[in-house]
Amino acid sequence: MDVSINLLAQITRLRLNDEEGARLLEQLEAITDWPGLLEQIELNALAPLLAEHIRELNLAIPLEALVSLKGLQMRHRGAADARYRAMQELSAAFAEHELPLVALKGLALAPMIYPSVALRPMRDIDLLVPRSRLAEAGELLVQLGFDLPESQPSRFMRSTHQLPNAEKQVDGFTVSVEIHHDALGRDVPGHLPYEAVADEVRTVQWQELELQTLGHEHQLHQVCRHLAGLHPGDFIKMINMLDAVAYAERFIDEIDWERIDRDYDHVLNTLQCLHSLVPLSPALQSKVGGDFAGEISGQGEIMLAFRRIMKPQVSFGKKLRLLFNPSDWWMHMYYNVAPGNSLLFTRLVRHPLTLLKWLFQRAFSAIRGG
Amino acid sequence: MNNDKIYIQADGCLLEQMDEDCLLFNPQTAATLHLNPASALVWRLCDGKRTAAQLIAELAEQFPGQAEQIPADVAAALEQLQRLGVIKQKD
Repeated sequence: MDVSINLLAQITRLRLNDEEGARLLEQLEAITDWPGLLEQIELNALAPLLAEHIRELNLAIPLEALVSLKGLQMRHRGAADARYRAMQELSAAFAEHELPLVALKGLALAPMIYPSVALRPMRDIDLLVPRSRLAEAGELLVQLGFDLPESQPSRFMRSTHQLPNAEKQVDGFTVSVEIHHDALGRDVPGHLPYEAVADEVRTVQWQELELQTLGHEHQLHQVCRHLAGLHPGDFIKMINMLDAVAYAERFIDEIDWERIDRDYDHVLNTLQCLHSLVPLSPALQSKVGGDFAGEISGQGEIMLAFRRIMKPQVSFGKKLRLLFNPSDWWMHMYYNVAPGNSLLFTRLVRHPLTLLKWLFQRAFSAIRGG
Repeated sequence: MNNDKIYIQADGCLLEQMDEDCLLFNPQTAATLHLNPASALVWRLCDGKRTAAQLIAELAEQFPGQAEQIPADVAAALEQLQRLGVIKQKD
């Protein structure tokens, strides 16, 4: 089933106003392939939000679909509880060893901007630690019963910004932890190590647990860079788009927008690009500035990860197209080109140079590590 | 069925009411089961302390009008729940 990005986008709301609710209700009532929709919903980490919207809209959906959706909702709730227990243990162990950690991405965002943590599914717990203590953090995870592979699954991934995924079973759920020494991956510009963010960390409360997370401007910088980076799947999850917009909305009066404009202007550009999918409020539009009238082509379509493009079953012609001709929407976000501006120079010069850089990075990584 | 056996819920299973029926999520298999009220009740009573016989006796006391049918229903429910991996026999 080809679930339209517009339908997914309409589900990507923390709350629905009357108009949005009526539009979503109309679209959902017309759905005939619920299994197809639910598959896309789960891939985009939207199942708990859709369940919540359906409850609020009082929409009767086929029993089989309801059971599947409720099942996904229960699974995410159970997984959130398991993550919480794992984080309690992990946080206490790190504190005992005076090893500082900063919660990144979903772990930090879920308690801050979502009405319930279980509404924000996540695959991993992402934590940032000082680079000098990375190995110690890994050893602590092992002591806590996590299974930590000795190396990354691919030699092309060596020297990336994190340890391999560590996993542990908690109450029947797999809890996966990624320890980073840089909050930004190698495929996006810039670095955000612990030392650069330590002075501005904020505290986030998750039930009884107190976690440190990035300051507002660093948070938006990280969330927006992560959004525009290369993703292991074929798409950006809609929930990641909601993270960026909802965070900016939630802390609109606390964020230093002048600093964002000065140091992280890609944030403003990313929010402009997201507007057609996850609309910004008039107040946020005025902070972000720019033109919100037009729609950028290829919205939601991203540059695929190298290893997906290079699969043998992808024809040579398609490889070239995927490498050199990603969507306008992604190009505007990644290269920080305002939606109204031309992408010609970026397509002809900047993007090919970036591809070369990525290629060298991977080759160097493979030679050094493998 | 051996009525002396004790059954216990599988780790991490979550039960949620849905109208009159119940949904049971098993994280081990990532499967969601749609249980009728009787099966849900049997699953709830599998606490690792009661034997099957005690479970039957307790249900017969709660539902005296169906006492004759209860042993067969419980046996069927236990077999089904065990097959689906949401309960296991305690050693």
